[in-house]
Amino acid sequence: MKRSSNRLGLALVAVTLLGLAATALCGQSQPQNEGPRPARSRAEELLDRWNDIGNKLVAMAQDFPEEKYDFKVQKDERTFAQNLLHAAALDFVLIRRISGSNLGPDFGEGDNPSRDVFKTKADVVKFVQEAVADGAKVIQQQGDAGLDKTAKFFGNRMAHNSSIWTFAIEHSGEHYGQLVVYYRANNLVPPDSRRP
Amino acid sequence: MKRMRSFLLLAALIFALAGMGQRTQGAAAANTLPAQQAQQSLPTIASAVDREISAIEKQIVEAAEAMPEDKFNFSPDSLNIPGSEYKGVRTFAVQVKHVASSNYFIWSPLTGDKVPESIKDGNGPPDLKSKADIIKFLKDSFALGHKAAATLTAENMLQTAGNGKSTRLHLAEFGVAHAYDHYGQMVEYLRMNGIVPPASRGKSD
Repeated sequence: MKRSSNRLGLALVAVTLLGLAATALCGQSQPQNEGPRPARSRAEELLDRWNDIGNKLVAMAQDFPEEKYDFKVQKDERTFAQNLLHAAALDFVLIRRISGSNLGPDFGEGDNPSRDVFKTKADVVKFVQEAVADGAKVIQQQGDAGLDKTAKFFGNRMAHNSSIWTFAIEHSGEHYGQLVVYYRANNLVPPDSRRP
Repeated sequence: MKRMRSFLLLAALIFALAGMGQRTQGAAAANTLPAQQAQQSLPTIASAVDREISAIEKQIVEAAEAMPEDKFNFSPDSLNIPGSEYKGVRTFAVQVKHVASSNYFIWSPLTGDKVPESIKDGNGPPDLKSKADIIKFLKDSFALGHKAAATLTAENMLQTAGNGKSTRLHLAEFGVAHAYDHYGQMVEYLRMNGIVPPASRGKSD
């Protein structure tokens, strides 16, 4: 009985030492104060935000009557269609810089494509859809690692991709807000504001 | 004397180990230096989000300041644009108060601050009427945003805040995105009054 209790004691000491060693090893590879493992990645968070505003613009593009596509509230601003084309074109400019590839259709120089290139509502809808889908694809392909890489931003300044994506999302949000006012000017309720 | 020798030996050992540590760190730093030079040094998540908040804060505060006080209660409804339907939409003042109140609702879970009791709903305190008071309310809400951004770390940004399901990063970014949506509407309200938004002066965007 005494011998077995000694063995038990030794076993307990061994287990404790092993436990301490394991804790020390874990402590070496993991920074202190690290919270619980995140359920989602940064890229997934970004993708949600990208799709959220992108799909709102797509819904507007699909919903707005084609005969009102060249409507604008004031003379010195973009028409409904030009707003959508501008938002999507800027997305493509930035997606191309981030991905290093020539994604999307040819829409000429700059980020204000001509209506001569995108003549119909279907053309505009397709362009906006492609921008949202292509951006989503790049975000997914590059994952979290891609967010910390850099790409050319405005004025040839380098910026982290995470900042560039965020800028594109915010830029779309601003134009979405303008189009909300265009909607109401035509006695229409924006798709996202319709309540059942 | 024997104790002194032991002490010196121990001190020598400590210095030797410390030196090894520094060399190891130095070698590691040298190995990563080219990679760091190829990439810009990464801003912290707190500073990145803070910069976004500053950008929209500047645009939206300047837009609010650009609207004359006597037009703060402007709504497109008053223009009677043929074929339009603006009944019940927010006035310019309420747009500003809505952004500010939303900032409080969205960002307070990050800081643990209580939403001010004067905010009864998403349209802000009803008794807040003057341009100066409304702009102060707006600026105060962005101050909370900066405080919220400062709480973000690489470790906690993907954790939920308070009792909600949204991550801290999502809430921080959503406040900014939401403000841009309403900034876009404020831009239109300004233009409807013949005012070019300050951020758009001298350019087409």
